[in-house]
Amino acid sequence: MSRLLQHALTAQADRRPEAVALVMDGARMTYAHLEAASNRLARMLRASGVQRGDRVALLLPKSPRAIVAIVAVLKADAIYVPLDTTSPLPRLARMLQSTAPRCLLAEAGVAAVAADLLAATPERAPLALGWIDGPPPPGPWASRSAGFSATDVEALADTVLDTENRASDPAYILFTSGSTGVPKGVVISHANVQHFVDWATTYFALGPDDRTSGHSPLHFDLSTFDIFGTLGAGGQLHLVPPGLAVAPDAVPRFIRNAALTQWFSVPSLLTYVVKFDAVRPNDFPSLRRLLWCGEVLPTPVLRTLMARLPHVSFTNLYGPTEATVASSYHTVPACPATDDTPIPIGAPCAGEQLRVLDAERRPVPAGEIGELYIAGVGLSAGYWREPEKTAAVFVTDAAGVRLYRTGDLGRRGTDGLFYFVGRVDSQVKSRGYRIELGEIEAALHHIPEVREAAVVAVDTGGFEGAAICCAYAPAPGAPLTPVTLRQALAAVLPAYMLPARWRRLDTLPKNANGKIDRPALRAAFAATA
Amino acid sequence: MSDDSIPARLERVLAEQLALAAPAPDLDLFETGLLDSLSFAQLLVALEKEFDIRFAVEDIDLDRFRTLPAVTDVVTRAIAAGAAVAGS
Repeated sequence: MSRLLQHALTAQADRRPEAVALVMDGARMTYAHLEAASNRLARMLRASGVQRGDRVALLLPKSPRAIVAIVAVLKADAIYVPLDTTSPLPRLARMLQSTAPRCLLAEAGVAAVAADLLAATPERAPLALGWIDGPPPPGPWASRSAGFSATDVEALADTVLDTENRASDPAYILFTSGSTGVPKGVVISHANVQHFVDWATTYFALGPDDRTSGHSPLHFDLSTFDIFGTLGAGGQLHLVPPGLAVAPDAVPRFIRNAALTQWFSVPSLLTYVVKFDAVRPNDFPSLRRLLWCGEVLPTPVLRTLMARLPHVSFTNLYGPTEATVASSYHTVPACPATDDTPIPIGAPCAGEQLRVLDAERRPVPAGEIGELYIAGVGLSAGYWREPEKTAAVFVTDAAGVRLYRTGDLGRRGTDGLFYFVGRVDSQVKSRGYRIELGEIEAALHHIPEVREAAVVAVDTGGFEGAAICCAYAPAPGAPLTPVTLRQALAAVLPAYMLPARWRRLDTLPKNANGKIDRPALRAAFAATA
Repeated sequence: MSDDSIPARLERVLAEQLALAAPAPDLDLFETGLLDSLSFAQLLVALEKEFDIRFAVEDIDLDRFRTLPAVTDVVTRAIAAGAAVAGS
């Protein structure tokens, strides 16, 4: 039998049914409950017409219920598509149209978003709308969909379903920023995730006594390690409420109160917490390991944390969504000596390869900078229904090995470890989110009051990573201020993509070729940092 | 001449550094979605710079930053605390 992600969860439910699997806001869910509830919901999905390989969109904020939904979709042999409930409507509608799900799972708290989303999606094949927390809330549902509610789900059997899926079948589709303005759906299989989880479970010795953080949103692939790593090992996953991290001491308090053994997040949060000095000496006595992924953790922040938390191990993980959670790792052996010591992205995880290649895709000598390519067990099959975009970055070498071209610049050090150096293009990371500056520019160019605009990133050395800066020239006579422009952008872009700095100009600086002079803009923004 | 009162400077910080229009005094900055974790962090840093103050982590209680008058109040206290330290 092919090994699927849900199998290890079922095995844990058989072994320790009354053990706690999920915790959030004081509510607990046992493995037996998770197993039974996901079996019922999977049956409901099947009864609603969901077939193997169909997509099921999740319009669900992070909660134990949402985790049940994820597991249920997998048990129905379907593919889950997690949607960010706070994302602007046009973006969500595009994802819905692109993936054409058979079913949309929602709950009463997002009924208004669901109604707007359905209204924004042209009529097409029937969509089953499932309300997983109770009866359908009032709304224009009947005209568009055959639906079900939590009561219908409750009536179904809670035994394990037969499945046809194989490990190579897709488990989820996650969207990442696209440089032309259209997000790309990355298709990830059961085997992709399982390989990472197997490596990480062994390397970190994850077990039933682990109490881990669930900080990442569900539309971010770090969450798949939180879910399938923790629950496959029989541990407790403590879901961090979205928005908790607004106050700098909220996360430290969360780690203390839940007595977490593992914290895993993007670095910006750790930087924020350290900037406001919210971690005490010898804090978090239960904590064993602290992991970060998604961008560079500034070395001064790491040094502070390592000095305050001598009992904790610190591991940097590296890898894009296209290669599943992470492809390389580096556990920092000792507190770095100086604030400018670079932290390597380390060595490949089991079954993965990193290569540093030149423009002709030949290996560059150790120590020299080239583009990072990834091969191995984590590679996605490609972008959802985007063969051209897939072919542009998933390539094959002379020996027939499939490679993903990351767009990251890197080098291999004399220590044999890999180091991240920067980007070949205008993609940036902010709070761990991958942002194509071109996507922001595309949105700006759709605003009629904007005559010309450019978006550049400036490294501020601050906790937010790169600061996104927007310079623009309004159309003649348009009274466009940064305040009104920001409002217009917020209607089409998620909050994390909104520029943090603004400059209104009569005309943008040009280089000798007549193109917008981005280095000059970067210098101007950096000078006023 | 520009208005150098704390509320006026606060409005300028919002408009010039965060591109946010100052809302009515009774509006909740978080519930209205005007501030999220990133922009709140940016606001803290911008306030520290503008008013030459330092926030201690125990001062950063969200309930003390929910409205513009509340933020004005926090800033006023932080300025007074800074002056007391400098004068001691």
